[in-house]
Amino acid sequence: MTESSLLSVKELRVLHAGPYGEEALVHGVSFEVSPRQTVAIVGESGSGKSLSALAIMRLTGPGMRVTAETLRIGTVDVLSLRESELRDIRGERIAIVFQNPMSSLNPVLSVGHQLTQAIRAHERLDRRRARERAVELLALVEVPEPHRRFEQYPFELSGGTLQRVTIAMALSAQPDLLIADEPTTALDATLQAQIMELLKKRQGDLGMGLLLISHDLAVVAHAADEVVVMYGGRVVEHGDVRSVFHGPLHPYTRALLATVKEMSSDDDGELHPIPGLPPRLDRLPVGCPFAPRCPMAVERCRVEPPSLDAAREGHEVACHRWDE
Amino acid sequence: MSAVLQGGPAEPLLGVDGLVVSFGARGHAGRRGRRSIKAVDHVSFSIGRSSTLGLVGESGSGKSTTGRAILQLVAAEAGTVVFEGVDLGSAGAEGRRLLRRRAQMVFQNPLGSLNARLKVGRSIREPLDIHKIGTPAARRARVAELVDLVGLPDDAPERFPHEFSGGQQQRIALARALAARPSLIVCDEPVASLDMSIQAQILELLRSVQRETGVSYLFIAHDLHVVRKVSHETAVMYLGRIVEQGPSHSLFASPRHPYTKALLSAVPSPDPAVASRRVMLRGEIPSPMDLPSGCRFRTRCPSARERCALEEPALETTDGGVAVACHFWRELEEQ
Repeated sequence: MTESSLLSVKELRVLHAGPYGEEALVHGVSFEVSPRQTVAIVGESGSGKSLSALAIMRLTGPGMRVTAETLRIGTVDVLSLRESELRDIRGERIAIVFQNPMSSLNPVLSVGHQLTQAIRAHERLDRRRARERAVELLALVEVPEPHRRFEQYPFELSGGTLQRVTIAMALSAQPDLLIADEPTTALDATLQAQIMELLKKRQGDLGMGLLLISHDLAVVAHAADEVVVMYGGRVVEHGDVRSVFHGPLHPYTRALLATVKEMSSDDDGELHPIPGLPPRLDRLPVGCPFAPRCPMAVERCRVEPPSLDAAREGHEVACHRWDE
Repeated sequence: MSAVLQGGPAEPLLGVDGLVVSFGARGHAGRRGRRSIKAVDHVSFSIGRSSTLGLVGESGSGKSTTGRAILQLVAAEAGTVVFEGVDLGSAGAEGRRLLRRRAQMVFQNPLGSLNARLKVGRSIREPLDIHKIGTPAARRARVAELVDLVGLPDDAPERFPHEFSGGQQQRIALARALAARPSLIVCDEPVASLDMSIQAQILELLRSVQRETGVSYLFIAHDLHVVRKVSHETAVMYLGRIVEQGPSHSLFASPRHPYTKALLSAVPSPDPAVASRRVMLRGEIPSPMDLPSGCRFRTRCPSARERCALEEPALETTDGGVAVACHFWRELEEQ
């Protein structure tokens, strides 16, 4: 672990009580985020990427248990904190933005009311000052006419503006680390580009670390420094963004990138999607989770899950046959 | 039924001419009182048999309303819709019967069109029951055939919708839409909420179903690249109007309208070494209650000039069969 990392995660596991005892949904995820660095966790629905992000903030639902060798925000050991101590960490040290802005906004309170509430939860400001700060924040996230928006209710605003408001709330206490869980997935491509640009700009100003959770490899390609690819609750590949995108080693990453390239080309050539479906986290195969869909799979893959090992400088892969 | 017996290539399957759809709207806090907004404003296109028209635009462009108006799920204020040679506006109840049987719709959220308490087989068979198509044994056989056609497991008819993933639910919705052998399916953002690899699976499926059954699609989506994969023709909508339309290969090879260019540039490349293109489109689509004067796109257009505020551009045919509604497309091309 480097001294300067904002977030250190080692062997993070999320367990839940199944019918035959405790089962792991997330199996040993490890990575670090430094100031100004962007780490992206990519994977499809059900890969365990969002669950890992929630586990870092200890926001997983009832019936789930989080364990880790290391789960540290700065120098604070998150797993040893009491609920009241956690509340101080959330928002101030680490904030989160979700895919659907309405899931973090109250529909019956004005935008300004909610924003000032967030500000006054962390800072001792009188109402007038808090209001000024809220309008400043709205301007910071490039909401047009911030004074007017301050008075409005969520239903009066477009999806893009609402997402800007939730980003403003997340930034209100100037967190060290921002987790963005599919922040642009529900938006049109033109707004996606604007929101990603905004996040990167504010990351630069505030020197934040950014943990981006996304299924969209094209967004990740431009926003991330480092990529963690998840499949079936496991990390299958981890490395520098260029190394992973230009020389993917895991058959899953290779197939996914090939599909994305076909999908983003300006022609109508035939598509070659990965056949079949990703496994459910509570019904994982015994060996490598990708083995049932993998063109390279041999007997060993079906019985023994591969470990994540360094393949190149700064690039790890979990596959028995990556070098063949 | 073969396409040759039904009019041949000269007569399109669907012809839409000057379609207008308005909604009543209340002004801000009663300042303006009650007035109407045009969600779809003089939209015209046609779809041939065994062919796909992609309708693309941002949220609020009127693309979904266009699809719904064609199926008479919302009332059109003006314009004609001719389907299988029948003018639906003047055919009344007979036209509606034709539509119900020969045209279907697939939505973004497949669960919205499936009854959670019916087994998948029942849901797929329902259109056959309603239209009294075939004997009970023939209907059962048809369900098995459809399950196979859309690539669902053999035991799918005996299971419930919630047991399936989003991609598989969309396959079920497609099987149900195909049951009564429609000639047209309106697909409204059918892959928008799916993962990329599943999107590719569903798009490939739509294409293979078209090859096998000869069905036509009106394919509505906000993602230009998705539209490109399935559409023979593409129409780009902005604030209720078509701003560019034509054969997909020409339109994508050299987009002419600044809006089409901006939409294409907004999609990032999946290669970190390719510098992400400058964000060309600022702000969001204006409210249809406050339409800009002249060209509707001018408030966000990087190339707007004085004339654009004064005069609304008409669709003008260019080379390659592409029509574009921009005063300056020729000049912009030369730059």
